[in-house]
Amino acid sequence: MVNTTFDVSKISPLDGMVPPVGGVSLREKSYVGKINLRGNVESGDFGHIVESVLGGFVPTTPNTVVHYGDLTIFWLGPDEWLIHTPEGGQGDLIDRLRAALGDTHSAVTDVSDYFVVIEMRGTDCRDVLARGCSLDFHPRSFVADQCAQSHFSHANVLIHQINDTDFDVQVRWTYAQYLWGFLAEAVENMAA
Amino acid sequence: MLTIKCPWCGDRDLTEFAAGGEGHIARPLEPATQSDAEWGDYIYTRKNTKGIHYERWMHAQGCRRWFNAVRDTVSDEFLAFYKTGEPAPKVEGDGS
Ligand SMILES: [Zn+2]
Repeated sequence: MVNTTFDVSKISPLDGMVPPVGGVSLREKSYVGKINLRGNVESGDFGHIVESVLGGFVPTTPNTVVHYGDLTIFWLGPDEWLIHTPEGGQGDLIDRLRAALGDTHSAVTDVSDYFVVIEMRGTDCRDVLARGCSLDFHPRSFVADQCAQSHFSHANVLIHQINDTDFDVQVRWTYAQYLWGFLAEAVENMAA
Repeated sequence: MLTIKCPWCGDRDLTEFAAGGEGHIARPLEPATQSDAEWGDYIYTRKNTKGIHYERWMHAQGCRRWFNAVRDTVSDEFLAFYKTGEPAPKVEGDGS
């Protein structure tokens, strides 16, 4: 009898990357479950069906974030959202969303391995972000639980402000090392 | 820096957007009955306006939505932004 049990080890493109020394700490938020959700909240049942599964309505104000229990839901577009779940929680939530939605016009897609999340922590986050992104990160225009999709230098990013000082930046897997390198260099240049 | 106002995200840098050419060109509703000349007109014929131009843009590195804009092709000044499906706003200087 052949043993068919495989030991699947999780890997990240950021494994082995060295964190910078300076006013911002960088750390990967590992293996967050991620679901892309699409549907029409302006007519039909989609909005209320999703609400019954998530525990609240998806955010309809552009570029905002809501939290329901251990779920974080990002506005990506007027008919598109991103849901972060705890590690491993995406499969069950996808099943429940699809079961509840049935034939309702919608799309529920597992994008957990498509993106990685980098946590930026520290008082210089806004200045570091401004080195590669043209968005206005001043507190008067960028506040907690606001998010924005933009580009940081050449990398497509989703930036989420956590509190008064800290940010999470989500980037595609293949751009993760590039973004980490750029952020780390910006942090160290500012500290120098 | 040239900024463009996405109807959902607000003012953003030009580098986040992709230009989509002239707006308000409706795809033929009955493709099977179109002549080659009519298809050619739909696909290739454009106003090539000098002045007020109604055009499509996409917030490619943001919310990825298509929308419409009115731009003066001489000065590159944007005069209005509006969502797909909304009627084109009348702007001053529009001779069409
Ligand atoms: Zn947008």
